[in-house]
Amino acid sequence: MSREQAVEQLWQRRQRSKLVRFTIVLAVIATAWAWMFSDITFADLFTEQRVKNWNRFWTKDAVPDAPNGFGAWLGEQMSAYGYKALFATLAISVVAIFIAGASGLLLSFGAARTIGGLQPSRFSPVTRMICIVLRAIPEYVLAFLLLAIFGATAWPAILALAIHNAGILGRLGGEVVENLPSRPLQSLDALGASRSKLATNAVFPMGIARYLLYFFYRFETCVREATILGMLGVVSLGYYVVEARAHNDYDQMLLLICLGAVLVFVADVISDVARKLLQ
Amino acid sequence: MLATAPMSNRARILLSIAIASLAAYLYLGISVRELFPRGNGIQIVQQFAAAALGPEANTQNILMALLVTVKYAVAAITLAFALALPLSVIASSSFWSGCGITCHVLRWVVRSFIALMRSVHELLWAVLLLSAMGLSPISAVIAIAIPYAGTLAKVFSDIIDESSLKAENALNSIGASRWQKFFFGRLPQAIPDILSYAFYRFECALRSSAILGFFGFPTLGYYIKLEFDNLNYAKVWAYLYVLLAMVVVVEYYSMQLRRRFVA
Repeated sequence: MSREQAVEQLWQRRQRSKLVRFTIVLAVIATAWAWMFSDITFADLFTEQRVKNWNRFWTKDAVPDAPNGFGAWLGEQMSAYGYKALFATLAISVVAIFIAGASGLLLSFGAARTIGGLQPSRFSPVTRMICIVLRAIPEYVLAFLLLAIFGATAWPAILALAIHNAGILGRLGGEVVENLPSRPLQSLDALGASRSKLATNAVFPMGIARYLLYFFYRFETCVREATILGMLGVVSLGYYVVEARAHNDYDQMLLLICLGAVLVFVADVISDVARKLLQ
Repeated sequence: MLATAPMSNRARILLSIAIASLAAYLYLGISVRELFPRGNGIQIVQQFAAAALGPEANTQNILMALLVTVKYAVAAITLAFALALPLSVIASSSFWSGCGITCHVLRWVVRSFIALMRSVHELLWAVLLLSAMGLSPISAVIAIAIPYAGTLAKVFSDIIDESSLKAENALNSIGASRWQKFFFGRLPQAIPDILSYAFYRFECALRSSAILGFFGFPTLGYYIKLEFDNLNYAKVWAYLYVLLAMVVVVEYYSMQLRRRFVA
């Protein structure tokens, strides 16, 4: 067989899937539509008005009004609202991820399609359905709806984050349970352990480390989302961002956005350290 | 493997979580009693729940909102993808293997830049761009694209670094240069995972795009807020159902796709 034939044979044997091809065509069409046949255009960035706005923003609006120097200004801003914004945001995300973690733990026992090769819970399909519905609605929309019910306390933000993440952690936890080693579970079952005994004495201790990895991964995103939920009126970082913008205090707004970035960065570090400790 | 993780660490982390949660709860000054809505809250719950069974649809508005939501998401993810690909190559350690200290400094700078892009939430980028430029479709697209490019670049660079060395070694043994090894040995292997992750982020972009409506862009979120503020709960449900269906359908599609794509 010549080299060309060998190459031809390899080419013939390549993996092919109709769905993948269809998706590629669809992606190309969608991209062309979004960029070439719609109102989205980069030219819009360079109209006279936009350039003027842009220049004014960065040379005037967003420049701190600091007669006593930047350090003094920063100190004032931080004690006026900066620390409050940071702590409130962090606290909201910690409470939320705690509730999500605990509920996700319960959901994951139910969501598993198999537990060590044993018969899964009768409610497995229902629980999986619940997980899908819980995570399908974005946190921001949930918080918006809950705000009307609970008023401007921290609860709408906490519950919105908790509901969304419980759905995600329930599904991921279910996968953890499915992937547990089956021997210990089967021998406990053979000894006559009840379902709840299996859950507390085998599934939980074997699966919790892996579950906690997911828990901290979700904590990161939780903090990130918590920074913006305040924009709805709950007192977190986003609330101060909206306030500053409403008063045209763009220097404060910019500072708050930077504080948000710092907070997310810190959460990343905390979560990284915790995950290293677990491995 | 994980079952043998040291008990002490695990216990310590569980304990820390409990303590931190309690401290956060006390700091916020909230109480569990507030979770039982009173007066006005109960009324809203009842009316809102009652409207769930009879969503009222203005088909034309819904279709428009859905189209705009998808359009922003497609534009944002393609822009993010185009930005992320070169960034991820520069941020990966395998690209710089056998290069000196200057390369590591450059890589570190790019990695920090990527971290900054994704540390700021897309809605905060949106607020910033709205303040600096004004309302325009391109500002919505850029607001989503910046943090998404950061996330994509980070994950892409991890995928590139984790791909198998076999092809690279084979190329090495026939005398390929450093660039050839990277671009013909390493990068091609990473492509399926890269595309599959990009598609997953498209799902997320759809949600982000819908939410940007709360800031005046004509996506699904715009109508959800508008109709809710006008107390048209039946219409709110119609948009919520469409949002839910969109998310679930794309998630299912993406699951099917990944099954065929990533062996």
